[in-house]
Amino acid sequence: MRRNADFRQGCDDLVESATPARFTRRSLLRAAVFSPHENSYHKLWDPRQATARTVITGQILDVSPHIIVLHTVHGEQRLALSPTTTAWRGSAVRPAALHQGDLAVVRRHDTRNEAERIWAQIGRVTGTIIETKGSTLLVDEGPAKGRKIVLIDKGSHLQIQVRFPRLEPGYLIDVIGLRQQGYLQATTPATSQPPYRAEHPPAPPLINGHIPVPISGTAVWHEPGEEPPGLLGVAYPALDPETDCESRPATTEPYVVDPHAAGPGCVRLPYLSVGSAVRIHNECTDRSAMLPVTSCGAAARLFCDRCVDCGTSPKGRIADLTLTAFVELGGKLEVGCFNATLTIAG
Amino acid sequence: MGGIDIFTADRISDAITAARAVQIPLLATLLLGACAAKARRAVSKGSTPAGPRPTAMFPVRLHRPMAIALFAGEFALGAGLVLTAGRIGAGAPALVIRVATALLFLTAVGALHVLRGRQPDAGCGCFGDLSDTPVTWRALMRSALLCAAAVATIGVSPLHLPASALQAAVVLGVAAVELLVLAFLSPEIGEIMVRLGYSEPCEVRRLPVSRTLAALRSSSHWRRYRRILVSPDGEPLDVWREGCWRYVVFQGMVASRHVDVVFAVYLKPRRAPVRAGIFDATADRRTREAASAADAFDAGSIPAPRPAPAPSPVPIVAPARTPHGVPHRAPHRTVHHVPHQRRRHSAGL
Repeated sequence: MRRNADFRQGCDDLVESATPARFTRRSLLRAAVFSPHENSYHKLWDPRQATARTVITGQILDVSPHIIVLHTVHGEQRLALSPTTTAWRGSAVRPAALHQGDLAVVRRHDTRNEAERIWAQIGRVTGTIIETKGSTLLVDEGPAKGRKIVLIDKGSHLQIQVRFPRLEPGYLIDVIGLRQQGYLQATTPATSQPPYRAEHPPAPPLINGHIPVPISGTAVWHEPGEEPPGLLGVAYPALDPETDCESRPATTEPYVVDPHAAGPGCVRLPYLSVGSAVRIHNECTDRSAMLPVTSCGAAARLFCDRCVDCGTSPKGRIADLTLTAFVELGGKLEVGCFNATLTIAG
Repeated sequence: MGGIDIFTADRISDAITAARAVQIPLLATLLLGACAAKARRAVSKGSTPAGPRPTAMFPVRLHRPMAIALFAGEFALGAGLVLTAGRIGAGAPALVIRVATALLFLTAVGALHVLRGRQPDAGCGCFGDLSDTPVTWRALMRSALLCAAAVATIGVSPLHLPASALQAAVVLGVAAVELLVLAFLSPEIGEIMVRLGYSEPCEVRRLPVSRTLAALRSSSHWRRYRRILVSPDGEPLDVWREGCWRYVVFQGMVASRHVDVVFAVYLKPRRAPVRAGIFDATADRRTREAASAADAFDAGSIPAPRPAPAPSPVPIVAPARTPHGVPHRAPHRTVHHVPHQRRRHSAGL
């Protein structure tokens, strides 16, 4: 939507933009105003700073008790399996029990070519329930991601309902499960259900002066969708409304909530743009990374919840990470979140 | 003595009548004020089907109708109290309006009690956005007090100016005490005080791009750089925001080379500080190539890491080391600044 900035060359969205390089150039252009010796921003964005990544995403070509073969965008990759390698496919399974053709996310050992942890066919649905039919839910994930079908089987229903007691239209849901053809088979709740209806997220407290940094809260992950595989980035909940293109025309459909119109959420975050850099610190693993903002994560503003991965985090989601970034920072996908702090680069 | 007793009893009776009469304008003001606050909330929320908090107890499809009904009811009763306060609406119309007002506040007491039990985080929404704090015993007491005030107005004769100074003093005294009690029972007063002293952080301040461009074009930096811009009156190449700064990029031409002229405008409604710099992609590429060659020499036979898809891969650091230095908040200074590698291009400016 170009309501405010007609001069822009395309949508301010990394995936949809015809010229994604425009966003990566922004850090260099910024450094022309605020010189490199004033900050480490420019240096952090330098392509020469690339480090080997520990996350591999691909399709399982073959798996045996000792080796797993993946088809990735860089070609075939083989990783050794050890007795300590753990795997997840709806629940904890033996690595050898993974299926050929499964989409897998693998965290490689830091120093050895060995798989440390494997997640197969993992998916997540986060949004507002807009329709229910028995144990099947239709969930609206916001203007960017659209709607998804969630099927809760009998074995998982009780476990999910403990943390999501109101599986009714108008309430929020966040579940993790197995990606199936056209739907998600929910197996575990990602967080706990906020007690309010989706259109009534609590307002943040008023802040005088400047927003205190670092900002503490919860970091979650989202399914890649149309993002390129292996993208390291963050869907930021507070993109500048003047240049953010993601929005939905006014709808009269019941229960559908536009997160852009539902207020700032329960955490006040500074406005940024696609291409800005933020430092995310995983409080649970003490790992941190400077990540680029790659898309709009306004739907995260609806969730005023906490993460209890290691202690109880302050309320509110501060970052919706790409799958690769979440794993790279030491997050466990089946847990769904980690306690995080966010610092704006610069 | 008997005469004095009768005189005193008459004065007490007059005072009570005056105290009952003062409830009518008080209730009317509160009801119409609540309507105005709700209307303001509805306008600011646009198309969001969010209504006052008590509607959350109803099914979602009834939220909007209930919000509208509540608004209309409060408005009708507030206006009705005003219209029937004098001799025009005296009698049955005044009685109906006052009884209905008492019933409204009685219902509010029950509704708030239920809301407090079912949704402890929800505010009462009585005064729109000002009433977002969770319902406490103070909100319940306030509704009960207003219910009692509405009951007291039943049977009050048409309002008239105080007959004596004493009666006027009683009216003012009762109104002042009642307002103090209501203020004590209203969490909205605290919210108003906070908002009066509130200054929105620049990081979350919404300012249109057009205002940023206007601020830029009236700055000294713009006048200084204007002559090297290829199209100063045209559209910028890119505009984006980071915290308190909005960046605007124009194409420029220096020594027959295309460059990017970058302006950073602080997001402030008036007298926004501006900074500027020139980015020369050619010079930057040369610097990078030189650095890459140095790296290759240092790295020896270790193969370079595989390039990753855009955006460029970023280092994972453990433990964290927070970067520092860039004034994304308040500007350190507002002087013209050109980084060292581009300085030669600005020498002739």
